[in-house]
Amino acid sequence: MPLWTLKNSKILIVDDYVEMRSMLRSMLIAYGAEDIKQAFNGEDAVEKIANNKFDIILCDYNLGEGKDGQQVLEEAKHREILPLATTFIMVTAENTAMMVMGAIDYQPDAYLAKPVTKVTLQTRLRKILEKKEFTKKIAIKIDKKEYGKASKLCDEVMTDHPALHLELQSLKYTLLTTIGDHDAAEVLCKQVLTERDVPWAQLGLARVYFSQQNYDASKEFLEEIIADNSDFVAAYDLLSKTQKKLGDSQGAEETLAKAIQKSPKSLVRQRELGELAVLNENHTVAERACRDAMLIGKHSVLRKANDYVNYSQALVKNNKGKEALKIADRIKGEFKGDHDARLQAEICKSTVYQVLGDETKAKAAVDAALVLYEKYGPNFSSGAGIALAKNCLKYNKVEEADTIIKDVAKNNHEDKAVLAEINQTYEEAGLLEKADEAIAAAIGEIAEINNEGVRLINEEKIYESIELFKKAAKALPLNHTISLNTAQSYILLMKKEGANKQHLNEAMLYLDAVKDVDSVKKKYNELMANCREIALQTG
Amino acid sequence: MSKEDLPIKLDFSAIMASSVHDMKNSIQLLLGTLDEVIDELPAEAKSHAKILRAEREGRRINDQLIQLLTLYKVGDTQQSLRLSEHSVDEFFEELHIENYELLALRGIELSIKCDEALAWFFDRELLKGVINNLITNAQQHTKNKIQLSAAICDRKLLISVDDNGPGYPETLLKRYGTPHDITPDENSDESGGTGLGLFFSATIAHLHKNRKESGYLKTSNKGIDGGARCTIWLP
Repeated sequence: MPLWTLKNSKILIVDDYVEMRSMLRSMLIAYGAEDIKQAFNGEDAVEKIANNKFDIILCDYNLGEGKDGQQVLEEAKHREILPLATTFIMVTAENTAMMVMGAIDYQPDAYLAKPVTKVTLQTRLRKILEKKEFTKKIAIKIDKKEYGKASKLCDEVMTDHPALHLELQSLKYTLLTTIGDHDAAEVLCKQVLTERDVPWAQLGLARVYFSQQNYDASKEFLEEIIADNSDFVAAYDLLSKTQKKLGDSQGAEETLAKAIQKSPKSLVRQRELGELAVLNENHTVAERACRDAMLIGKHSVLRKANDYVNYSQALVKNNKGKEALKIADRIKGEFKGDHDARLQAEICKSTVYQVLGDETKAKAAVDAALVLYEKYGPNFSSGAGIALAKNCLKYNKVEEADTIIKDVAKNNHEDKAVLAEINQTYEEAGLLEKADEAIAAAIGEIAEINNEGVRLINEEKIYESIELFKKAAKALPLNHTISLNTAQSYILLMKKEGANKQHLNEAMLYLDAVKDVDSVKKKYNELMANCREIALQTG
Repeated sequence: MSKEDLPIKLDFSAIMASSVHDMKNSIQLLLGTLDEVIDELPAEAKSHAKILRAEREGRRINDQLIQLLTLYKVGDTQQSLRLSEHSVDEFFEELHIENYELLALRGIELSIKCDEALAWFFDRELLKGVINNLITNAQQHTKNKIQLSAAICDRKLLISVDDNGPGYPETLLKRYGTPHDITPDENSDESGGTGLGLFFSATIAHLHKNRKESGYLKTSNKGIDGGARCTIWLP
């Protein structure tokens, strides 16, 4: 019996092959493991990860039908059901980077190539777990979203364990960009790059240029990286984004097409290629990319109803109306209980009927969409809302369009891209003056609510401010500023009157609504850290 | 039937990938089952020559499979590296654990010389294939010693596999005696597939790049007591 033991580790084995699972299981038992669960496919794995807290997950990349190992990891990270303390190991048959490359934000702790022998499993596991142990205190801070503190801890651990130097610098870079400290991230990357060409630091530096909106520098640097390393797919992705920002959508499409050739199994990449091809009116490319995005996304947590809509629209453009309708019809079944998806499906169908020349059915679909909007509005994505408004304008339903546009504007009053789309929508209908009106009204209304809220807080009328913001949040569930202000009011209240579980839950609920919004990340992290502190007081 | 007559267009890389997946699973089960069998044997039978031979051949199939697939992909320009920083000492330790028993049985001693703090950038799985391959070559020619060593020189990592056999024949010294030359010898008559193995190793070294410099492989007879030495230089 070795000194090193897995006795107290909770382990999950994911493989579609029963013999493989039992073999891995007996290898782990040989090292003292007692608590071992098994999953036979991706869906099963995600469910078990959601309901258990594992120390180690051994997941095969190839899981037959359904989700593959990478999609399991993506979903677990995306849904935040995989704590950083868990060690996720991807077992692969091939040691090529092809299948997983590009998914740079969703990396496992380690890859293990088959055949996995007992001794390799033991040596590798021991080293990986040892490393995890050294960085545990950082992981705890990250799970609590205290990124600033986590980044400082990186320096501390680096001093104690020089062997982990580079890995910790990479982690620190991610933390710095998460809290929006791009200047420090830039210094860090440049420092690493004086030593050697380290891929994450190269890409990191380009990302810093990109977020500083220095697109020329980003483009130049990325082209240099790619010239040296033509397999660096993530660099192509960012170059394509940069080219788009510089107004070169043709170049952006070409760059992304090259990346797809090297690594086709990425949903996000196919989706973006499809969108670029639509923009460039390359209908053949658009059809293929949109189709692939839809197919790859079938089992992915990152899929969107819009992938189906895009594919359907691409088919129409290529005179395949019947197929386009079929795809639009599939949305309802694929996205059960998703109002936004249903709304998008109706609009999509309407557009197809319009191209096919069936005005009656086209109109009927818009009416069906309006019924949905009446029932669930304004809780719709800006894309769905604007698409519906456009179709309303087409059928002279100006009043309905105005209502929807106002809702969209109020829900997204700080999002420049959405406001530009509103402009374009009215402009196409020859009603440009209405756009200014709707946008000004939305901004004015929100400013008024905010000013009123701040006044109430200054007068120490915090309960009144909460009431005001909550009312506004109910009417505008997607407005990030309102959600953040509601949460902040609760936090102020607790700072004044002491921690309170119910108030804390309310604050967290409003924060949760904006957790994936990049533009408010800094404020979100700040308030989240406040909540964690208060949570410690309530116990 | 000519190629054009085939009812469907064959996607050879897809066929290759799915076959390799199956074969890897089989090798996994083969070696794993063997491990279990060994566990159940009485202590004195554990290192029985026949058992160890079965294990060695299983691993050789795996090494060959990796070589074949990698070279196919390089030819098809699909092969890309998964470069990250690894502790060389840990890497050696893993190779040692996996190889020393089989070597000991043949009366060969495998030793390791490496600074504990040494870390470098490489594709772990591919380089493992390379070193395993070089060890296989060495054990066919060595008298009784094989040494793995690593050091940093001129901003490159060099990993050497030395033995105390008769050394490389003139042809291999010529072919790989100078860096950057990685054309396979079509007329190679080396026993045990040495020609292809070295070609594979040189190819993998070449794929490792940093600051516009590529890695390379070099053969010499500066091994133990004038034996063979194969060195991989990684920038």
